[in-house]
Amino acid sequence: MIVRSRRGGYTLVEVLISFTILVLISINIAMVLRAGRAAAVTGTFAARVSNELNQTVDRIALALMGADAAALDGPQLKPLSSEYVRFQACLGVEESGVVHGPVEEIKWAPTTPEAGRIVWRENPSSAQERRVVWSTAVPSTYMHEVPSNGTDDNGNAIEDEAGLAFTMDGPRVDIHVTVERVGHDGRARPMQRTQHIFCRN
Amino acid sequence: MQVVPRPHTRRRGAALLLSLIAVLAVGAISATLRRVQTTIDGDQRFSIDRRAALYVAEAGIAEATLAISQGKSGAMASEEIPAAFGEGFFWVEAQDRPDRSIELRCTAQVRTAEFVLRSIIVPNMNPITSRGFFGIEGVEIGQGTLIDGFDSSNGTYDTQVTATAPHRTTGLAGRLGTLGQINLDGSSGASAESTTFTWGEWIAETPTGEESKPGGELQKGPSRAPRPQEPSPEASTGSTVTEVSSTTATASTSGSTLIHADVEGFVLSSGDAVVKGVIDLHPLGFIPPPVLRPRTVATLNGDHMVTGAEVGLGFESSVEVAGDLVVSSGASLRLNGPFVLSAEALRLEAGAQLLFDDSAGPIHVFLADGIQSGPDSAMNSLAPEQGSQGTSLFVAPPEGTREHATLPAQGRFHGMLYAPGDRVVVPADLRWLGAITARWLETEPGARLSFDAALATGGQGAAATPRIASWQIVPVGDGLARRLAIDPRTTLRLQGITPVPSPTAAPETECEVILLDDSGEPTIFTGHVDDLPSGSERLMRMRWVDTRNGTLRPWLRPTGADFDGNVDAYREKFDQIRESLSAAQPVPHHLDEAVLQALSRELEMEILLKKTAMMDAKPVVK
Repeated sequence: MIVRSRRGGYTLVEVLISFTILVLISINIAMVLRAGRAAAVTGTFAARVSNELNQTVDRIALALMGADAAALDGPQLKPLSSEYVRFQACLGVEESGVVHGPVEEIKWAPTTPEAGRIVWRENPSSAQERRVVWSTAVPSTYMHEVPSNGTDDNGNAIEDEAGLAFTMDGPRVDIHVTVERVGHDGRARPMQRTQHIFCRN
Repeated sequence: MQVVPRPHTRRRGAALLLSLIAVLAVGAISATLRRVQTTIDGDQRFSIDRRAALYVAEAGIAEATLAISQGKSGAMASEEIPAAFGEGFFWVEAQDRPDRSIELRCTAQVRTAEFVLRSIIVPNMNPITSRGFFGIEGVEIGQGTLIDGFDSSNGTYDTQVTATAPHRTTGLAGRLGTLGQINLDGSSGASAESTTFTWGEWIAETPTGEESKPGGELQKGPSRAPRPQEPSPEASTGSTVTEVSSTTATASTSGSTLIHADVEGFVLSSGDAVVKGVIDLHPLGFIPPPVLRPRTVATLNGDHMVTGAEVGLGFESSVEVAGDLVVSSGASLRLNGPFVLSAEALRLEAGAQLLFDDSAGPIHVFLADGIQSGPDSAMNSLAPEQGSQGTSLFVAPPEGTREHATLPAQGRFHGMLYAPGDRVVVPADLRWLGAITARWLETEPGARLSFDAALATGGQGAAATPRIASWQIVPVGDGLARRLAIDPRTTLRLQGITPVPSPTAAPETECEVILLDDSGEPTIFTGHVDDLPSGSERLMRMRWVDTRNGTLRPWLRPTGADFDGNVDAYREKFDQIRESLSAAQPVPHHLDEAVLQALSRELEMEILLKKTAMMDAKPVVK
């Protein structure tokens, strides 16, 4: 007599249970992966925006450090501010005196009514003009500032400042930059930084 | 019972496979995220290191500037053995420039970044003498006045004369400046009417017959100034290059002043914005600096009258005359450096003469109540310009009004005059080589003034400090900074190199110093700076052996001023402290708090913490 083993197959109950467990585990894994990916993307995004902001501010600061303080044009005394700075770097000293480089300009240029970019120009508005875009995500107003209301909304002692603003306090020049990019969740994430520098020349 | 063996199923290992796939997927995601994060971290780390390297480079420039202020070359450490500063390293290469400035190139490395700065330092510019002939409120230039320049470190004025006809001149740039107006063909001895216009207008409005000079200089001026018809012998041989730092100028429309004369005798100017051959160091204004006054060791009460020929004051190194110092008619007073003279007023009677011999040391004359010179009085420097160590005349500004300081009518003087409260008129027959700063400066028609560029550096009675003339980032690598593959600390450790500490990174250690000892006689010390005797009265000159080529650096002329004897006062305080410590009871091994407090009270720490006189240095005058 041949005896068939009852374990030759799974009962429906076994299959349903195992399938349910498999689904639950898969959902869990998917949720963990999704959360991790979202966190990673958010972190990477924040790091990229921060990096862009720091690089932009550093570029502006290093450019202005070598400028001739007496020939600086643009920065205003607080609470006023300027969206541009025009300067000449010192290239050294020759027999004829201090040698200056060409006129350079760092300026916020609008691309839309709410956003713009930071443009560095050498010999602006001339045939020899060179230009480099240093940042493409600079809003028209500084972080937490309401435009054109004549008040200091974000408590930094400047009124209605733009996403790129230059102020001065004696020999010191303050650079205020806001960078704002839209994340994967569709929300705008602004970051701002202020740096104080002294022109060395 | 027959048992049927369980057949092998293909589903075995399926779970393992699924697990493996899941692990691989998670691993791939992690690796990607890790790579992105590493890139971002690298950028941010480089950004931080670049900023740190910039600061280290600035520290290197500052250390080099300090070394320059001490008369050293400015070179610091080397690429092979750099100097350590914080987490990074730096080395500075220095190069002397023809205009006495020093070009520094500092390379700094911090972890992943290398930054290079280039700076030009003007060493120890004297705030008074570097201005040349300077009238704080204004300048009046008499007809036929000629101003040029020379460098006494290269020889006497006469040896530097390059042209004798039609004008006897060195062809080197002089320096003339004011915060007020420059009045050409002024009223001093001249009756020409003057008109006033801005300096910019003056150089923009070119005269008829304007000509170009080699080197691109233009003849500029409001009018073509005719050559003097019968100039004095001295004036007729002069030529002037004048730098003017004023914002307005006054010039005669019919005068004959030669401010910058060419062979045609036109009024010329190279303009005030770009100055050929000279660095304009103080374009923004002028604050009269405090005068640092050396200590005097002897005092003469009341007025002191000098009679006889070429007599001294009877003191070796310094004397303070409580009253006026009077040189009687026909007498001559001879001052031999090193010497410090302080008096209320210096009065030269008719025909009296002042003689300065600063070949062995500097001469400082401090006058509280000015100079009054009679007719035919004279003032002469005996040492050739190249060998002189500096004669400085300081006239304190008056508390009220005072008749202007009258200089001797004739002679040949090499040195500087600082009279920030006086109107000073340079007579036509008093040949002046050096510099003058006065409240109001005038020259008589035909006066000759030559700015000595060698006096512009070094202490001449006022603190002289280096100045950064240029600061520049030198791009290296792909941008402003270079990425380093290996941390320089690791590289140095592998090579077994120990970097030098930043404060001792200057390689110069051997020096030559001229000291003034207690006897008032100059003595020369040569050797290692650590062996420099500390008991000397005063340090007059110093120079270092340049380790790059074994030559001697230029002489460093310190302020020459331990004003009010502060060094002695400090030595006295330290002696008191030393005596207090010596007299104290032997310290027991186990001290309780009360004993420690008692000992600390005995030390009188307020003496040590007292402000030094240098912190609140005030003008010796007023």
